[in-house]
Amino acid sequence: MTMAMRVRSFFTTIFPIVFLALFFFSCKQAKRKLMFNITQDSLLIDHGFFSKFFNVSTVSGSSQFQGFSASTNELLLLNLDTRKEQFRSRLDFLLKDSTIGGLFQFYIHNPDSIFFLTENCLLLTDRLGTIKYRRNTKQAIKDADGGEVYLMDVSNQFPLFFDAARNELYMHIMCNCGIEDSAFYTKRVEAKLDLASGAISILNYHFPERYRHTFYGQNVFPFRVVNGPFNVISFESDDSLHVFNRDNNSLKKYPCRSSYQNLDFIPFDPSFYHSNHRIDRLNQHMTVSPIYKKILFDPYRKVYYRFFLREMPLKNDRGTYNSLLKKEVIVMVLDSNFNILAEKNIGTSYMPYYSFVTRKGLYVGTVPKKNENSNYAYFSVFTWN
Amino acid sequence: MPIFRYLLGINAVILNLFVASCTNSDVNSRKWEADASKNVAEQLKHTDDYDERINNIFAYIRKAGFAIQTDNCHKIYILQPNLCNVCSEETVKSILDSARSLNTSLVFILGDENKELEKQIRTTNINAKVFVDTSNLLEQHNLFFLKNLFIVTCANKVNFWAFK
Repeated sequence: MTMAMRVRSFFTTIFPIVFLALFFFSCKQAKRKLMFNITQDSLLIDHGFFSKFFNVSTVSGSSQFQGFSASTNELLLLNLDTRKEQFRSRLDFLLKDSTIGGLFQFYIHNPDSIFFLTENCLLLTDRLGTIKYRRNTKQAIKDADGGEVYLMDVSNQFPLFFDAARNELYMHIMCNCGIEDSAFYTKRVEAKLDLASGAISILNYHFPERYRHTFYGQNVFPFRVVNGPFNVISFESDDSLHVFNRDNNSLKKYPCRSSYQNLDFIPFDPSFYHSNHRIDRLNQHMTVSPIYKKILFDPYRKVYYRFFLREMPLKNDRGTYNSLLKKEVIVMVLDSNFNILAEKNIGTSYMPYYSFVTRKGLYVGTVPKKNENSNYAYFSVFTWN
Repeated sequence: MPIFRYLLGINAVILNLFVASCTNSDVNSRKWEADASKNVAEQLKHTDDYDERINNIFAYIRKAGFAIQTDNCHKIYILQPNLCNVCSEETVKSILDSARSLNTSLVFILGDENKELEKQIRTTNINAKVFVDTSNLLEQHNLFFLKNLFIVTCANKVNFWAFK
């Protein structure tokens, strides 16, 4: 072999190997370095509308706040960019009416098409509450696996989604059984209603497999956001994201574990679930557990935000119990392929439940401070570059 | 040079070392996390310690500086007015109705400021003292619960307690 051939052989052999070695040497997925910017904002919204039923949607490039006040039986649609009320109207029907039942969720598609999912029915109304469509939801639906489920939701973290092009409404489904019942986790999670035909079909995905073998207490619920044909689901005790493609009815899971997670998900002893002090035990379990919460899509920046509540010790250095309300909140920023671009520990003063996206950025509600004007809702607004 | 003969093998060994070190550190890390999680799960199985926690009421009252003579007898409600469903209209009404029938000195301690609830208590014809835990001392004395608490004390002793 001549020297030239040896040299050529040296370079053609070593460079790919060195390149691969450097790639594996990093051991972790490369992250773009993103810098967060934080500003503050507040919204003057009647307290009653900022209840657990609120939604924020993006319509024609504008963000809209949708609120329902149970005390006044009113709907509010507010443009968050202009801060102008689009409408505020009192409903003709009462959601406490026994034939309608208590409200689970609502969604304003437009002022003439408003969906209400209640204990007893699904309604489509106009802004005054004139009922244009009604479907009884008290009857169970047969799950494809043979079990029974109901169109229902308990926390409004799995919003109603209306695919207007296909006239289909997507909803959370649950079995009428307790979360301590292992049957709960064998059920599917989401269904779609074809409004034209009335047919209900159940989307082909389940709770995470781990839920069937281990009880995670109260930390089991799903959060869902829709982006195009993708229904993206985050489960509280699973670090992966479950992405259901409505176009081809397929499910794909993406690893999405926060770098701030240092404990595996913690089992909850089922024997405490039926004890007198269940609530405290669940509270302590939630305090110490790593928990994935809400997921949002930012249509302006084409990224997802996933909230993670960091684990913490049961007791602090003084020997007193740590508070569930003081868990550190982590915001994960994901690209459209669910790669983690950045993570930010935003501290303990935030309420991810009250989070949404506008043109300005990611709004996250702040824990009310003393002396703040209670007519306002206060937020930190996160953006990055 | 003789080394060229072995270059491919050397590079393969180096590459395998890098790959092994990365996957090994991931495996070790995950094992540690799983073990740590099991330890925490065991901690959560501790025995009930409510009696011990509720006995902190006297230290709490002293630290908070509330005008309550703990030598005497009192019926104390610790309410969490700003927690969802804990202080609903129904719950508050039920508590105030049962409080009306009590003859001994009544004390309400609110976990958070809530002017409406304070007003409601004061206007319900109940001769009660109302205090607010403005310095978050309830939590520091392990007296923060996600439920309302009722404690009967007499001569610096807890005679009875219950969640309401």
